[in-house]
Amino acid sequence: MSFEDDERFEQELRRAFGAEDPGEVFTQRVVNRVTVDAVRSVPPRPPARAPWWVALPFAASLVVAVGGVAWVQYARHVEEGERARTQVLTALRLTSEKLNVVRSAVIQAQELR
Amino acid sequence: MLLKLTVPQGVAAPLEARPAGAADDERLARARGGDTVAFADLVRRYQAMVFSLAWRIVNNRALAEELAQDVFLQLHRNLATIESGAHVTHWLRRVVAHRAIDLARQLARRPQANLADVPEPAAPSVERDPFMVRRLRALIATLPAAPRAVLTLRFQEDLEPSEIARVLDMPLNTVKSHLRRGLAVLRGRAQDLVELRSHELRG
Repeated sequence: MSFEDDERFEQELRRAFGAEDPGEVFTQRVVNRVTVDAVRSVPPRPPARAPWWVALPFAASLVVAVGGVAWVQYARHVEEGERARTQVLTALRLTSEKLNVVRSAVIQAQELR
Repeated sequence: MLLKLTVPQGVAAPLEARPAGAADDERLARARGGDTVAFADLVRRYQAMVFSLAWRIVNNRALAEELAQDVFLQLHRNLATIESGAHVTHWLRRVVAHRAIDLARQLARRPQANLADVPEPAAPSVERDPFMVRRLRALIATLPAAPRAVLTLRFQEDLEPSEIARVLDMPLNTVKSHLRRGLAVLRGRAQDLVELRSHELRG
């Protein structure tokens, strides 16, 4: 055999470069990798949106809670107001009683002259 | 055992019965739509080409197989950009050639040498390998990555130099130079092996 002939040499080269099929095992490995890759690339689904009326009990609870706090605060305010009013009235009564005592003493003093 | 398929009227013929281009286009369209079976058919259609290109350029069968799998995975991710069956062929050749050359260069233990600096291959082994194909493959493996890729695309894929230049993004003159010098080196060394073997056979 001689490779001085170009055409013959190139024929041998084509045989040497002949493509070889890696077989069905290769195909399955590729398919497996593609399947795993496809699953990994799927973005996570956003949480499903619930119907609007599902939030109603929560909204109602929130309103009741806020309203309840406001009522308690109002009631305390009223109570404090009543307490203050009572204190003022008591102070006025005491003052008035003392003034009466002083008035009586002054009148007595004037009658004795 | 051969099965003779009878195709009823109104049903499309099996893909294998149609012209290669039309069958590839249909496989591609189905694969693009998420059909895994169609993509597996595409892989079978091109795996010999992709694997062999990788193997000849990388010179390592296991690495070549892994590289070939990576190329098909990359194809699957880019199916939306592939326009036709012919485009698949060009795309695969281009991607595998570029990646194989990169890998071959990484694996090389010495910097890329000019063809004239490549050392002579070892003398034929004692077991009297009767197949010149195997000898030629061993000689091809001694070439640097770029000329090896050019020769592989020329003699495995039967591409013209202008097509090789397009696949490898290489100037046409560089392709022709690699072809000319690569063939000269291979022919010279193959002839030396033939003469050496002749001496061995004569005693």
